[in-house]
Amino acid sequence: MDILLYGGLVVVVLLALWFISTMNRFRVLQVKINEALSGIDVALTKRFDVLTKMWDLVKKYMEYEQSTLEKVVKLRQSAKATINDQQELNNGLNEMASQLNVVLEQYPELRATENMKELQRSVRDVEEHLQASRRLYNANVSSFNQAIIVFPNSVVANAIKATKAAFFEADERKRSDVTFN
Amino acid sequence: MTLHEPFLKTRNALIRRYLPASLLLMLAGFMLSFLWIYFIVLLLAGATGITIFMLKLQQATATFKDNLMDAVLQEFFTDYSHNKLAGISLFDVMASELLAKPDRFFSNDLIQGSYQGVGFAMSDVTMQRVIQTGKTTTVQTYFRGPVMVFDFHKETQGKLIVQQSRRGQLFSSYKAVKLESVQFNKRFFTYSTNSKLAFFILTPHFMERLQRLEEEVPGQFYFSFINSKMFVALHNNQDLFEISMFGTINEKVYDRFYHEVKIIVDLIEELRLNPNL
Repeated sequence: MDILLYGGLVVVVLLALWFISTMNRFRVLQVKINEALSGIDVALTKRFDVLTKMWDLVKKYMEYEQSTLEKVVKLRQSAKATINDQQELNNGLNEMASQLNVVLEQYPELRATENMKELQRSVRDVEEHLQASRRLYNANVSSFNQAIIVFPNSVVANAIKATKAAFFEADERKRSDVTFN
Repeated sequence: MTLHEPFLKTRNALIRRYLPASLLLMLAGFMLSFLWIYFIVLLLAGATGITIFMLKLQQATATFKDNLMDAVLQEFFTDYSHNKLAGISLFDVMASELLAKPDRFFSNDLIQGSYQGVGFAMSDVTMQRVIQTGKTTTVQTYFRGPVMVFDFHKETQGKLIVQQSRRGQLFSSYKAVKLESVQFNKRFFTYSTNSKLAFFILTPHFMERLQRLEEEVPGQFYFSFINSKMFVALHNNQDLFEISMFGTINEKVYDRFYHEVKIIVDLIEELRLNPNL
C-alpha cells in the first residue's frame, strides 16, 4: 500500500516537474520571439529614418507621390509591437522604396550625388539587418510552434493556452523592388 | 624551361661534385681504420664534404622554393609578400577563438596581400599538445594546415563561429544557433555571442557557398567572424609549400603550390568577400 502511495507521489512530482520545465521552455521561447520582434522594430525604425532622409532629398522630383510618405508616417506612429503592425509598416516602406527607386532610375544625376550614394549604402545595410532580424524572428517562431505542437508538449501548451505564433512574411515582390542599382 | 629544371641541374651537379668524393674518403678512412690518424682525417674530410653538400642543397632548395612561390603568387596577385620563415602569430590564431591553446606552436610561410580589394594573410600552422602520463610523454598534433585571416566588410558587433565539429560551451559566452537550413545545420555547428549576428552574416547565399566549399575542399573547416575579420582554419593534415630536398621534383610541384595558394582566391571569390559586390 505504502509502495503504491509513494510510487504515485513520485509520479505526480515528476509530472509536475516536467510540466513546469516544459512551461518554462515555452516562456523562454516566447521571450526569444519578443526579443527578435524588437530587433525587427529597431531595423524598421532605421529603415524608416533612412528612407525619409532619402525622400527629403528627392521630394521635389516626386510631387504627386506625397500620399505614400504620409501613409508610412501614419503607420510608423500607430505601429505597436505586434507582428501585423510591423508587417504593414514594412509593406509601406517597401512601397516608399519602390517609388524612390523609380525616381532614381529617372534621374541618374541625382543617384550619382555623394549624399545619395551614402544613403543608398545605408539602405542596403538596413535591409540586410532587417532581413537578419526577420529570419531570426521566423526561426524562433518555428522553434516555438514546433515545440507546442508535439505530444506531450501539446498538453502543457493547451493548459497554458499557448497558441502558434505568426511568421513575419516578407513580401518578396516588393522586396525585390528595393534593390538600388 | 620550367622552374624545376634549373633546380634539378643544380641538385645533380652537387651530387656529382660532392657525394662520390666524400663517400670515397669515408670508405678509405674505414679501410685504413687500423691507422687511426688516417682514419680520423679521412672520416673528417668525408663528413665535411657531406656537410657542405647538404648546406648547398638546402640553399638551392630554398631558392627554388622562393622562385616557385613567386611564380605561383604572381599568377593570382599583384600585391603580395611571402616570408617563408615568418608565420601568423599564436596571438592572432588565439584571437580567432577557433582552436585550443597549444603546448607547441609552429607557423611559417606567411603570405600577405590583397585580392579584389580584400586584404588577407595566410600561413602554415601546426599545433600540438603534450600529454604526460607517468613517465611517458605523448605529443598529439590536433591541428595542421593553413590558417587564414581576411578583411570582412560587414560590421560584426559580436562574435560568430562556424565549424564542422561540436564545440565545448561550458562557461562560454557563445550560444549554439540553429539556422533555418536543415542541411547547413547538419554540416556545420554555429555558435554566436549574438543570435542576430549569425543570421546577419550567414545569409542563405552565404550558407550555400560554405556548403559548396566544404564539399569541394578536403579537410575540416573552422570559420570565425570577429572585429570585421574572417578567420579560417583548415585542418587538412598537410604541410603547405614543402619541398623535399631528395624527393621527386617535376611539374606536379608547381601544381601543388598552385592549389595550395588557390584556396585564398577560392575563399574570396566563393564567399564574395569583395566589398564592392
